[in-house]
Amino acid sequence: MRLSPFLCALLSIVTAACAAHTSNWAVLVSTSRFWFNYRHLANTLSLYRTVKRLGIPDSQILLLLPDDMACNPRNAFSGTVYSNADRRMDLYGENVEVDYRGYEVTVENFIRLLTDRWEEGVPASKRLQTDEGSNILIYMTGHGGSEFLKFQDSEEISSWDLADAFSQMREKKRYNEMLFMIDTCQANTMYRQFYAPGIIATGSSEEDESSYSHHADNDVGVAVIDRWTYYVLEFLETQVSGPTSDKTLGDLFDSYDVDKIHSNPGVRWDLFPGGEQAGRSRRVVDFFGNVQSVEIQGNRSDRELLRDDLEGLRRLVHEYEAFATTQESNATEMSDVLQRRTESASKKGSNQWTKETQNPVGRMKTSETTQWTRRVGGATVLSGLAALWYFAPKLV
Amino acid sequence: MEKLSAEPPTVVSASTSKQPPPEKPEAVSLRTKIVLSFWAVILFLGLPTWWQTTSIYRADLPLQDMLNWADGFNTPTAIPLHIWISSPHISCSDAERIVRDTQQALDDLNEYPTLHQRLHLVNSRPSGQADKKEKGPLRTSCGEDTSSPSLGDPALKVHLEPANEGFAFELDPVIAEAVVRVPRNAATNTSQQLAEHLYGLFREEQIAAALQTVSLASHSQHAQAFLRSQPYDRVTKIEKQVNRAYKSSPEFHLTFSLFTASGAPSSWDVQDALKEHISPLVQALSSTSKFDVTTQIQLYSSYSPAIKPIIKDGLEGTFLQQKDLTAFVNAAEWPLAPSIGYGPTINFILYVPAKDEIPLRIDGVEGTSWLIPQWGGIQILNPPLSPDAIHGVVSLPPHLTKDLLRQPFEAFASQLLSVLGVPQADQFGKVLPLQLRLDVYKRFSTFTLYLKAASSLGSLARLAQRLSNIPIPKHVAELVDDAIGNLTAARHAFLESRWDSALTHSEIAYSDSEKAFFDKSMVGQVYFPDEHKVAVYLPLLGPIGVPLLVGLLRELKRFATRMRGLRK
Repeated sequence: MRLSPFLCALLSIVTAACAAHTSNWAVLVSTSRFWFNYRHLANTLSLYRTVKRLGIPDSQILLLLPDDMACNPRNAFSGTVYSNADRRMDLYGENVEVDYRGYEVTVENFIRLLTDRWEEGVPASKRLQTDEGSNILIYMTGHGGSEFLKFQDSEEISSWDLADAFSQMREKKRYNEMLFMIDTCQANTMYRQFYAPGIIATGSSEEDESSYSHHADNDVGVAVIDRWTYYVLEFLETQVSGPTSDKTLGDLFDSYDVDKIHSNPGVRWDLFPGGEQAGRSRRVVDFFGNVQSVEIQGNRSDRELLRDDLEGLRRLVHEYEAFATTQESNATEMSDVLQRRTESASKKGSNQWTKETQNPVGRMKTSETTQWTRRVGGATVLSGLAALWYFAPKLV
Repeated sequence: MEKLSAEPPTVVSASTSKQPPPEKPEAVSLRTKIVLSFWAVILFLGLPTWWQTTSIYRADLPLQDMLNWADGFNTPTAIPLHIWISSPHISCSDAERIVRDTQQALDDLNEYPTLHQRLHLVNSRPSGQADKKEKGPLRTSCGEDTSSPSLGDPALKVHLEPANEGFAFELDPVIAEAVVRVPRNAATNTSQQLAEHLYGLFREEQIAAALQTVSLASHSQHAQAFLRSQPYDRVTKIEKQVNRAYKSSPEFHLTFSLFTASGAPSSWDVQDALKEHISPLVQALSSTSKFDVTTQIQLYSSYSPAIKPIIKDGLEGTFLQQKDLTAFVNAAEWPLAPSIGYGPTINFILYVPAKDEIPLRIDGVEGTSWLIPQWGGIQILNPPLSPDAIHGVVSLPPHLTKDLLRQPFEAFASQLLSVLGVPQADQFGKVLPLQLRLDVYKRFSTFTLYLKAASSLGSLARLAQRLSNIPIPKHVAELVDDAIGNLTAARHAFLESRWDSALTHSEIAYSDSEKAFFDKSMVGQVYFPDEHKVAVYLPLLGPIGVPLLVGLLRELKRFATRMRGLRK
């Protein structure tokens, strides 16, 4: 472990394979609607609280919640979401930033989010703006089966879709390392098709195995959290004290207890460079926290040098400005001449101006006319067919 | 009972049932026509329609070309770095000899062809008037004319001056010019020394370019060999510097934020401070990227609650532990992602602690500012406490004056340069002029954008090859063509050492290739397992297909028997 940074540096000279880890992102997805799936939203919100506590800023957390349990009319404690029957911690709280809600949570949007293929104008807060130095945590929960996860009762995402999306991310150097976590029935099948390197995947249950809820809150009336998530959170909240914790992924995965979880959680290491050994030694906060290296600037010599530089720069800027003003005066002389030359045509010019301002409208019109020709064409074909249908028997 | 009732009718039917009347020949031919016309409709109308509506449009991409760009086969093997040498006071033949020898020595020193220094003897005097005024004995104009189009942009202008003492190499403190004092005798030694100085000046830049080539292009033996020949600590230091920098982008946002733990200070002379310290830099950098500057103030916003500062006996104030600095940013409450425009945001935070924590310092170091790579800089400001005019209570000043802001903004200016990846002023014992460093940044940025554009094209090509069910619209192919065109133009500009034009083309190529890769219509069809396809087609094709197939088979059978009958 001591050697690894040195090795990394050595390797990097030859291949630059060990890109520096410079930022952290989290994508937390619940995929099910309706009140009785309260626990899936609570799972996701609990993870949200944890990664936020460990330092990932809201701008780097993408939270996808397909339903709003806090404001559900069946919620006896309106405006709140709890993941424990003791109701000590309101997960919804004062400060929660849901990036995708309700019907925005779709398979298509999720894949667009991963591959960052959006139309223009989608705000930065809704996008996964990662680069080759980013570690990504992806957490998904919902109802699933063998190699698929259901989204919103109407569609499903398959293991192949996820694998292709991840490989596209890899291709575009959109992540450095990724931790994929999924809590659903037959969860371990979801990462079976992955093939992009650099991913550690873990799931709550084997194929043909259900994933169970942990406990219900009788006043809320439904189960409030799933077992696997509950024990993962228990580890994160009790063992990982803060952004500087030294706990490793190995510690996290060793904390899985089949007797408590009631299903067999799985981990996939083979895609990770260095395999299980390298993966186990990764710190938990490499994925759940926001790890930034920091350079303290103690010495002042730099700054003094810069002060001289700035003086010089100001001198340069002044020179440049003087140069620019002379240029400009030349240019204005030229433009004067030009203006005089074009003055005779000024009336025409004004006409042209109005025309130019109308130009965009004109362009709209041309597209409209093409639409009209299309419509006319369509109508002709339809009426021709109708005529054929009506007259053909009479002719025969 | 079933058996009983079932038996007799079959017997009866076998013996007494009437045969249907033989089909009329015209009925038979009509049926043949019907079957054939059904099949004709299916084959000539149905099949093409089905094919047309279910096939995915994939525009032709020049895949091999794109992969070649990404692999670095098209990257110019030699990118020259022009250095102009002028020698107004040295005889022409001497100057030419010095230039020739120095070039020879440079070529011997370094074989890596990217950013290799190429010396040009130029005629420094502006032609025309200057010539007439000066009437010295050595007014022979030698060297190339500076306005000639065959010369690229100079990375450095060197003036040779005759001197009586030894060799000296003096860089201008601001602009990219150097004066070299050449002793009148022992000229061969001069060339060697000059070559070493020039090589040393641009060595870091070459290392950075080689590192970038290795990380972005897959065909990079030259660069790897060059890196292996360089000292290890130097390479790692430059690598660190490159990693600290924001990724090159055509556009950046700078956000300066004042966060105070209490209600004061609530205003700052930020405009003056920006004008004083940041604007000159932004102006100088604007030839490389576009910069937007925003500022904000937020009161009662303390640092992250996870941090517990410590108090030391005998020392006033509080101390932050060094390991806590990474968690200092209160991401939950500090509005640091304005998400305006396209470019990445670089944050600069000025933090004023609460009165009872002042002075807030970092344990073990003198400074109170630190830099977060690829993010920005943070500075703690401990303003002087002054007694309140009315109550006499010691309190924080309500307003931060220009003088108080000088030191933090000087720090921000230096952090801005580091975060952008402009080389440090003082590096390996040399002090580099700012102009030269900004030029280095510009060249590095250009080269990086160029390599990134090429690498994006490669990613797109591999994606198109691997995922067969992803649609590729026509405009993506157009963008790809455009990017390749701009890359080619940039390559020509590199060869001629015209960095402005190379930067423009690289920027366009970069944004086009990014747009092509991230085109919104290229979201692959959701995966359909084969059993799903069967499940979709079977209910449709079963009821229609069975009668059609049986009909066709019957017709074929009849046709076969008729043929046999005819042969007999």
